[in-house]
Amino acid sequence: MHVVDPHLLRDARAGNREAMIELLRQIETPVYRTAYYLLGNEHDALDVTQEALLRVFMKLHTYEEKAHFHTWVQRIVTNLCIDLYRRRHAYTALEALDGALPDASRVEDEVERRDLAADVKAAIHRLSLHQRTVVILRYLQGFSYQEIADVLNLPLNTVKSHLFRARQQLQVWLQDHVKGGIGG
Amino acid sequence: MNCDEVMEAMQRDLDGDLTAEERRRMQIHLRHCPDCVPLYARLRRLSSKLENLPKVEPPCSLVDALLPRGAVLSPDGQWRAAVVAEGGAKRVVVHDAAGAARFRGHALSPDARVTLQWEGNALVYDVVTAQDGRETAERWRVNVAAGTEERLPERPHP
Repeated sequence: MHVVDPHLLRDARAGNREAMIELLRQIETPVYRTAYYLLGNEHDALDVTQEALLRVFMKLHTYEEKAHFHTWVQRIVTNLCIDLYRRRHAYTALEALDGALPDASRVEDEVERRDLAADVKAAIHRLSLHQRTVVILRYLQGFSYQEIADVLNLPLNTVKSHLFRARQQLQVWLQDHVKGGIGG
Repeated sequence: MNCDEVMEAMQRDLDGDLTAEERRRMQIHLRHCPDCVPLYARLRRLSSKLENLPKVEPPCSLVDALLPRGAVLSPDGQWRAAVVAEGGAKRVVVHDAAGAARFRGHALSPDARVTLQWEGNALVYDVVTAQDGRETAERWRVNVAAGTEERLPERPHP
């Protein structure tokens, strides 16, 4: 995992505006990447990224150096995405987190449904919210099991179980797609 | 290792989490198990697809929108003018007090030097661009409320 220059972090926390801007520039792309893959579209991802950057700006003084800075930042953006997702889908927290197929059945557009099966990105979107988050932190942020556990505040074994089940599910979905693609 | 243990080992292997000894034992199983071999191949293919997902970038810098460098407030504090970088160009953007962009100027060369100043509620900006070793200067006036800008005639040399 990329590590932020501790001097830059210290200056930004001390209120140095140029250091703050530089710090936000360094995290802008990783924050956007997580939001983009969690929410599945550019518009929502930009909104959430802006909100996350604003929170980092406002709350940097509360950041404690026990946690890695990037872990702290990813916690902020994943929480914002999960909040937005829950509001959109009007699910209870439990359904949103444990449901295996959050929205695949809700897709009205037939073309979109065909794309869902066709593409890895769309397949990720069929995962439950926690499985999707773990996959994104592992593959788009390059986080270790422990770092993912820190971001999501979950036990290590739960992280592994989410990741392993997600990959098991994804390889089945993508295999179905290959089989279906030969005939049609 | 039995098939269940190997399933877990295959998954951990994708994350580089196996010791050399665990990996050796997994491979012994894979040499003899017709069920696990294709699964291992599919998981590795999937993992490589996930590793190769497009590393998307934001289409414009949000930091610039949030905290523009050298932003200049209008005398009544209603507007905040700044130079922002967008996709290989620069432009002058004016935000209102709530942070909404109310005016966006024309695209400027990325290495143009821009200075901003307010004359009442009109924003005036100078653009100095180097071309073929010579510098050219332009002066623009922005009517923020109308969302328009006009180029002013050449400044007389002092």
